[in-house]
Amino acid sequence: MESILQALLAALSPSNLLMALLGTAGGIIIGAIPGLSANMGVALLVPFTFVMEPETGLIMLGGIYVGAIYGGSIAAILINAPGTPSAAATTFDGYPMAQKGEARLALGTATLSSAIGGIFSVIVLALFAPFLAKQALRFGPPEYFALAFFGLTIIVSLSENNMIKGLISGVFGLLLATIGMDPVEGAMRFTFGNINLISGIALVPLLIGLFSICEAFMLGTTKISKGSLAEIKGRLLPNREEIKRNMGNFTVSSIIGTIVGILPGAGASVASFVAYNEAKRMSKRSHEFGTGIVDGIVASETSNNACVGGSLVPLLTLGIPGNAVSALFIGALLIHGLKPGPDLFSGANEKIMTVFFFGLFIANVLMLILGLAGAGLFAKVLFLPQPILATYILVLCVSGSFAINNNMFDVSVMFLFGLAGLMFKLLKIPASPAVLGIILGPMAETGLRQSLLMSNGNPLILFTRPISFFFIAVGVASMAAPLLRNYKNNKKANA
Amino acid sequence: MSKANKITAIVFILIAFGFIASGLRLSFGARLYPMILSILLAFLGVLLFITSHKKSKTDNSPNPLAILIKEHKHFTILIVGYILFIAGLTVIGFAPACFIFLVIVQYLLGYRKKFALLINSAVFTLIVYFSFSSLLNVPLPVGIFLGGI
Repeated sequence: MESILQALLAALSPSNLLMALLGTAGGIIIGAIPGLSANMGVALLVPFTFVMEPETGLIMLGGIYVGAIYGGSIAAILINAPGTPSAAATTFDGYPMAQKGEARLALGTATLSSAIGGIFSVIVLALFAPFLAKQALRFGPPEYFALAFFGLTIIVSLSENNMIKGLISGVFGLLLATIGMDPVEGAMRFTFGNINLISGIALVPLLIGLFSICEAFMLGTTKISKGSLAEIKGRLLPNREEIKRNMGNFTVSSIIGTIVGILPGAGASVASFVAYNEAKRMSKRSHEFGTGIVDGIVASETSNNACVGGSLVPLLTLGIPGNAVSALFIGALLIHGLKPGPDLFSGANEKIMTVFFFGLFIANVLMLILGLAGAGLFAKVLFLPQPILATYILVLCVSGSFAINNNMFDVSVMFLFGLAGLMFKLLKIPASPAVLGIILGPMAETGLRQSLLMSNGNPLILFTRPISFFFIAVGVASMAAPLLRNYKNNKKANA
Repeated sequence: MSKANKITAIVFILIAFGFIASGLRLSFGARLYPMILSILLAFLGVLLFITSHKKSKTDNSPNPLAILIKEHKHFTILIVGYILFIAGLTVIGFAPACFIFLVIVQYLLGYRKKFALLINSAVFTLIVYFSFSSLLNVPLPVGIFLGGI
């Protein structure tokens, strides 16, 4: 109990509060600008965290994540363009409300709902993560391989729109992860004598390139029509009747968001659509959905912010990133020498995690305050000349990439992967599978090779141990479902 | 789209063969895993090529790279400007390179308020430079004229 109190006090320290505030405000701004995503915000700011205390850095990133997912609703409501993909369902009722002159109420409802969903998921994260992480203590190389395999099967669900391209991206990421020192024999692979590649391609510059540079280049070519911005007026919060009517909606959407967040491969976009449909199905006023009622905003915004805490559960406990943003947290953890898994919840690291959980809770509260007090103010970022914003982002990408190891090689890596990311985006090749491959590749290879060494080359070791078998079976099942769906869709399209 | 997909497929097949060729020099243990992945990548590349080729006659979707041509002016300014900025870091240092990059690229992208442009660029450069060097204790490149990178 005393340690929890100490962690709470640490989370409330001026530096942590300041970083939570800056992160959340920055996240809201990033999220509000269509074209910029939580991925970009977190990727861009990961390098800034390495001079901070680990918990402070994580709190700032958590604030950006929370703020960006919420910020997407501002553009969704005011200009009918979701600031982030996860706010797409918010446009269904948010924009009609704005057109009816209820923009302020729509923004207030989105803020309140986001905070409720976010806080719910942080509580789930804090309660379940330590328990789940302890289970990982029983893991040996076969289990780690099986876990990585399970994580990699997410690629299939991330690639449902184009399976072959998604798989190409994932395998490309796995191949990139083999660059550097061989984890078992210590031989140099594909380094071409470059000492900067001995420990592999630096993760953070690569992520900054893939997620931030291409978005900045695209932003440099887009403009937003100022004429379509709705006027922000009217009451701010839902009335008692609306809140009472949506109590079940808040609860169900929070649960849906958290569960979808925990499930690898899904994410805030999926959660918001699932919750929206569920709320519509359950509501007595289902016919009004889409015409501009608070219920629709409650469903989508509660669930997408509930995904935040949920997506961190598999990441912190097992090292499996559920989506691209949580994958970026791995970069931040590694910068501080922290490895996801049971070690994160024991010894000195346990305090870091507890402070982080409180920090994430505080970030949600700050989001509520900032959102209610200044959603209209944040909406002004929609008027920023986007090409100009793009140049500032490009500068931050350079300084952030350089700051990791103080070398220009990382800046080159960032730029090259920026161009690769741009081509991926234009050619509709999903970048997230590549990131997943890069992160999980070493775990998969080390686990597999060590398992084979343990069993004198017998691959059956992967199937005879219960935990390992469980993850492989679940992985196969989670891979089969989207593949079957894809096959059926193709068949239907060809018929 | 299918033409772009076919080119993409060829690029990934070439990457796969690049890894296979470089991996042949490694020991069996070190090369086995990347070899399997390279072969898989080459296979997927071939699969993409075949499916794109099959669709090529019926595919009417626009060329996804057309935006590079349509917005070529913006992309050229941003990419060339960025390359020069990165190259300039080691020569003249972060602060001057950043200021010049911001002023020139923003002007070329259409921002015409010269005074605001100069002030905004200078302020942003100083904020980033001092945030890194003073607050975060990370020295940014000072350029060869000041004796560092």
